[in-house]
Amino acid sequence: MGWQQKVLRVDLNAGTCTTEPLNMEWAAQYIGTRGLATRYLMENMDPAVDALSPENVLIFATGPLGGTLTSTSGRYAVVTKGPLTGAIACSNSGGKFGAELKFSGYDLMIVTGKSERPVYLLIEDDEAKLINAEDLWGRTVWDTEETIKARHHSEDMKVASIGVAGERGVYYACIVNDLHRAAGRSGVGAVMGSKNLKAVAARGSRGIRVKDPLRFMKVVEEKNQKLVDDPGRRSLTKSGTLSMMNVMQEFGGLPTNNFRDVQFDGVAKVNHKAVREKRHGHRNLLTNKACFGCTIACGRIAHIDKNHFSVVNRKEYWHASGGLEYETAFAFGPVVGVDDLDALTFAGYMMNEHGMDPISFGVTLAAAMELYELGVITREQTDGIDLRFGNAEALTVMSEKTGKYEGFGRELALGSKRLCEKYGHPELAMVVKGQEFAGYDSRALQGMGLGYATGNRGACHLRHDTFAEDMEDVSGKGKAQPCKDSQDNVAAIDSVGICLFTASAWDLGDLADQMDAACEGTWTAERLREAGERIWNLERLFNMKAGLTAADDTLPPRMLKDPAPTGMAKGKVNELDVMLPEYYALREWSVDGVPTRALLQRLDLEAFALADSA
Amino acid sequence: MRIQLDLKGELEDELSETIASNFTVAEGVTLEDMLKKLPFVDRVVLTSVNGTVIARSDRASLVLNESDKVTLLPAIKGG
Repeated sequence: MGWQQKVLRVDLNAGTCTTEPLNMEWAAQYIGTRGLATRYLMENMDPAVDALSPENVLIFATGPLGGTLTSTSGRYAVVTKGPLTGAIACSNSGGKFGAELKFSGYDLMIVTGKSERPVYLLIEDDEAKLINAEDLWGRTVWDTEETIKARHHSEDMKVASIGVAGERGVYYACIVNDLHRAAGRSGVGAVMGSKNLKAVAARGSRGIRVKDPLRFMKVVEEKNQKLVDDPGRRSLTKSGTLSMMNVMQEFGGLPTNNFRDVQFDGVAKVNHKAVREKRHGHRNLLTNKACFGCTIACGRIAHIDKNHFSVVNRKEYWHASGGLEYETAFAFGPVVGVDDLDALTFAGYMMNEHGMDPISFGVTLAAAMELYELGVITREQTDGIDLRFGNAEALTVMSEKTGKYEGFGRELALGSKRLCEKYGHPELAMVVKGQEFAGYDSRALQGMGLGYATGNRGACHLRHDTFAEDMEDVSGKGKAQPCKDSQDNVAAIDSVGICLFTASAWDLGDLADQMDAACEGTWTAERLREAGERIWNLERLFNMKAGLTAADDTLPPRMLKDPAPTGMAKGKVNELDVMLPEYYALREWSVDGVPTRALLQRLDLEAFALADSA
Repeated sequence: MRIQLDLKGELEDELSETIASNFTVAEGVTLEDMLKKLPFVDRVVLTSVNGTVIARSDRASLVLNESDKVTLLPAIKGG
């Protein structure tokens, strides 16, 4: 119940698709999506292999509440070893593809090996087959999705695919589903491309059985009402995540000009009010949009002014598509110094059309701009584009060049870490474990910095929640405990198969009530919390087996040595040296960041103990 | 007397700009007293008056003055 109890295994070396029963003992311990896929990943690959080699394994996973009546139940996760980081990659997406995969009858899809020629996978309930995709290779995400749907005469089919960025190994290429939802981070699209897998198309007709249907419906109704009444939910519906722009500006945590600054002069031109205002007869925001089964609808649908320089003679971009959210707005706005709303929106279109992570692209472009202003990179190298901060043309041109893997876009395809190392300035890469920071400065938000530094997939704002504590106090004091606790909680929420934004209204008890009505066994908040802790530690063990160490739990020198220039944390640097030892102790890890044997025993993870586990 | 309430993030949806920028309070009222009148006080994480952050422990002793700009920030969620 809840789970479909079936796994689809796709062997690209042999060109075969087979099924096997889901390991229900693992499901009981790791739940689904992120957690369960990590358990399968550990079983199916050596974490030390090259992320872009055929030996890497790519898993698409849904959760036990996925596709059910529970709000936001359309999530799926892609779990693999990430090329951007060399660490575990777990990238989560909304839209409708995840639910469709589950309606096809599968909890997980495990992809191994590499196809000789480009293929796409077609799943129609029990039938799964690989189809030649040589004609699709080199085409955009949008074109690929439209072509596959037309070929199979099905507008209802759901497609997840990669663009040229994934094919050519852009280190932060993503997998896009439903045109503008994405498993965005860590380069999971590049892994898919390395396997010559262009797309996965699913069409399912199976329902999802739950343990106690009447109780489940009653519980779902009660929890949905709680979500409806929640002011955080109301704000997400009305303004999306973009309303955070003003908060971060006021607080002084809005990364600007590659994190040199923490407040942005042009904020009023790119915030949640700007997208609603009419300028030159054009309003950017058209409406909001919900993913499968979602009662929040934080997604934005926007369009670009037809007279804007980026699209003036390009009718193919005059249509409505995915609009700006906080992270995309930060990554195309303040961090590169650009305040041209249509240019930001165009860059967002490029990310979706060609399949790239906007956060990593924006922060990489910001690093390139700083290198350009230092004279390390010259105009001759940037295809004649003036790569200074604030140049909207640099943003639009480079977002397209990178997506198409052309010109200087090939350099930006490296990501910040590799780019800055190549040009002799590794200190300018705003990354942890090779993955770029999200839109929060970790001198102002200290717990965020600890979360970035200890993030199992590198710098990420969606693996913990210390916002309230960070804004109460701009020191590192008292941040380790909420960071650790929220990391465990988020791992559980992700693994259930729903959206993290429900956490505005729901705690683990609310999730446990729904799990308990839908799934085998007895589910409590404590059981979910413990599963989250188990998942976090298993991800850590994957990384250590991949070769990462405590030395990777750090922040760039700019965060540790250069004081915040303005804002409420003016004069502060991140106090990681204070927070990290406290965090390791709370985690029951050694001073070298290695999970202790006693911890592994408690979490039933002894089989994965490292040789140096104390 | 009038003060200016400067609401950020999701709090911006709670009061119209006209009401917020002409918010009326009694003479001698403290920041804490003023906050208690707001139905969304539980969601206020950070307060500043005229650009200076006011610690939670100091809210009860800080007396507001005519034309003060009181900025209120909510806890936020990433995305």
